[in-house]
Amino acid sequence: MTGVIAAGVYLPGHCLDPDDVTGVIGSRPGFTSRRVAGYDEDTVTMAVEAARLALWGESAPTVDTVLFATSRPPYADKTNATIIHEALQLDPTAEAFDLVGGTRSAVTAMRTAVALADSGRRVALICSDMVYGPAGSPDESEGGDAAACLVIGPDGVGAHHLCGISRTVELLSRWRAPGEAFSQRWEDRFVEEVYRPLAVEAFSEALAAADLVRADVDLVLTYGGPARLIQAVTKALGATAPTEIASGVGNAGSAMAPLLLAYALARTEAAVIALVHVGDGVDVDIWRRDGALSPASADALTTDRVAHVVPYGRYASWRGLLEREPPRRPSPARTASPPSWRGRHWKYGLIAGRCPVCDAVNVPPGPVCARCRSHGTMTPERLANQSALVKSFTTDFLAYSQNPPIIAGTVDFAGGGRMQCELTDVSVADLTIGTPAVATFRRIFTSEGIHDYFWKVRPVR
Amino acid sequence: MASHGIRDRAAVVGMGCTRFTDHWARGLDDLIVEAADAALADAGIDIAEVDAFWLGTAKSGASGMLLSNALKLEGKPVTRVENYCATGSEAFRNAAYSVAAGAYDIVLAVGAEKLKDSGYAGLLPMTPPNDGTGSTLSAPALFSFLADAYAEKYGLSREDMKTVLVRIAQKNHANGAKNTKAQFQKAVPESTIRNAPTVAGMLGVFDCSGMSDGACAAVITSADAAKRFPAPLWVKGMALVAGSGTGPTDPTFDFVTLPEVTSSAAEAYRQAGITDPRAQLGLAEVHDCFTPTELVLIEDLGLSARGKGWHEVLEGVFDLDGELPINPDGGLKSFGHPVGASGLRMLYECWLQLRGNAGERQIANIGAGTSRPYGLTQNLGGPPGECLSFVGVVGAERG
Repeated sequence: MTGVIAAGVYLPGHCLDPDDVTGVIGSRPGFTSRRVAGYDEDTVTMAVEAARLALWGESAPTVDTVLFATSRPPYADKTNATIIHEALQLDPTAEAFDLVGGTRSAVTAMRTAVALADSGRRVALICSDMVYGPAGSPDESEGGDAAACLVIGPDGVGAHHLCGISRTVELLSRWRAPGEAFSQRWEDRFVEEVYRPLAVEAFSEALAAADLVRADVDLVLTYGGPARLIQAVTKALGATAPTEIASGVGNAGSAMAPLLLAYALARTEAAVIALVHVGDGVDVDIWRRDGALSPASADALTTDRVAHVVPYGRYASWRGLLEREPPRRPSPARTASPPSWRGRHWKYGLIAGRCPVCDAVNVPPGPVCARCRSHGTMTPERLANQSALVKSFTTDFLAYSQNPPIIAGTVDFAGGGRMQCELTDVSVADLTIGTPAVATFRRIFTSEGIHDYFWKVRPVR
Repeated sequence: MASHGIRDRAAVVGMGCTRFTDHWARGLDDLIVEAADAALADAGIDIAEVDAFWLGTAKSGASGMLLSNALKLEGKPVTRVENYCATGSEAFRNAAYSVAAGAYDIVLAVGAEKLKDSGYAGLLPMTPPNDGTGSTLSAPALFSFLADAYAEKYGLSREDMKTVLVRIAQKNHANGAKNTKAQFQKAVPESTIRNAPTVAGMLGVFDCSGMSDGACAAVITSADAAKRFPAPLWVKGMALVAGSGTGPTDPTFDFVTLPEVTSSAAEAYRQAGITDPRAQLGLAEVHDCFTPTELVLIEDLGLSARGKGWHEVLEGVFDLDGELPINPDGGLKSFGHPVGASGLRMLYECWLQLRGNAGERQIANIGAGTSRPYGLTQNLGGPPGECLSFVGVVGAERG
């Protein structure tokens, strides 16, 4: 039956401390802890991380379609999903598309994924978002940064889609013009009064469409709009607050639809789950649980990655709220397209080369083996899904970085192969020789509008 | 197939060096002309007698025309060479080969660099269009791995290791204080060095060489042509090894040795007939781009046994009045490091010391007629594990 096969949720390893924010802003934010993406993360890098959690638990994951939804695409006029496709080293025959815009694009992506799966395709639905605003804004207080991936196909095992019902209304509740850094909102009370009855109406119709009564639905989760609206709709529908299954995440915009479904499947026993999206209309999607998700993805969904508090001032510099004096070094030159294409398996996929003669793992691969010096074509060796150990590290206060100082070192991968690279999501105090680590897809820098994507390494925790 | 060397087939007969400093008021051409004129005057020849020219510059421009234009040469061959921070030695090496080959009688090798016009700290990367996957680390960070690895391998605490590094910086600053051409001409207190702001890893500001502008030049002749010059300095051995650059990704590479240095030293010693460098060298000018580099080089060049270098540094073996002075002119640390000039600047100190002209910092009992007639220059390009090394040996006596 068409349905969910596997799921992955990526939460960045940083969070804000409300006391810290209070000290700067003067009033207390509404969260007890919120996740924030690192300076070297964006919606694409987080999407890759979520997708690998869903896909790499399988021995030979295949994907026919990548659907990527976000409200903050790194590129406006270039397909972002192709970067994810390359990072996951999917087959070139797999298609990859973006659905960008408001959070409603994620609902569209989810329904499209179901429709494509009904026609026999195996779809990686990947939704990723970063919600932030000016210092002290509601978006900063209520928002969250996260990515989630659902693998949906004709051979679904976890849950299947019963119905999707929408109400569309043109109502200016949240907006951001292209090029603007922050979204703005209309007054919450007005928005609430228009949407609440619409949500009740759409939910009733969805129950009817699925041939269910309210008592049949075990879990109703509302998401999308501002906190006040979500609370009101949650109350009106007898729903569950999203924070009950996704605490400390915040409202992660476009990521919420797959994130909530993944958590509902992994963290609750609910048999019938309704997701109610409120924003630019109302969208109700009802899912029925079939069985267990693939074990690897289910395990990963039940434990949250530990988050480390990032000082508010540093976070503010990451989001451009606080301009920091750069190192006295030239900004990096833009990444060139032809070498990036030639080396795409290395650059995006972190594919090294295993020498067919002496078995040495060459990082990066090349035409001549570094150990036995034999010439020839190497066997692709994926490093990104291997465990690694930190062998040495240093702190660099001089090099250009979006977040100086750079911490870098060498790591040895379990299958052989050593890489010298940046370490991220880390402080030197956490590091020792032998710290377990894993490769992570990051944005190294941006120059002339070109984002330089490559892999770093982060401690496992 | 063999490497033969050119022992005693080329000679240095005159040298000139600008001060290494922030030459705000002077351009690359001014520096080239000053160094060239000084070298020619030192040799006592006119520029018209020079048959060919080599220019080493890493980052200040391209082509031999930098030099032919500065000196307004006509009808002369000028070759520009570049080999990272060993660029100056490369100009010397190729110029020496040309006279040894009999192609020319008298040539001029010039190394020149203008680093301080960029407005940035440290050396800037030279990268062609690329895929953005290369190292983003600065040179101090890449060399800081040496300090950590050395301390780990030989059981030094971080504090003890720092003491060794501080001692090296202190020595080179003390030497530079006796050198009117050095960028930094003041002895620096131990506590100032130790407490300087961190640049990378264990390395503070005083563990890093000085970035400066400067030029240095050498008049080099064939053995026959050298006969008319008093007290030439003879080329005894020269070796260059460009590594495969695989150290950082080689799990067996331990960051306590630079194999390129070990092999280039062995070859240069073989050519020169040096069997006990510690006893035969009068001085060693080594590439102390960062203090741990000098420590590792001391061992790689066979001037101290493996794992013993740190102890001998602390004992003062390599001080100006020690058994074998290293970087008596202050080294890259306090003389400064205008990249393309540095290799020739090392040779310049050998030129002065082995001929007894080093003034206040003259090392006693070295040069012609002594048991220490040789000087060594070791010039490194690139970071540990992905570097190239030049080692040269010159001598005050023709064999």
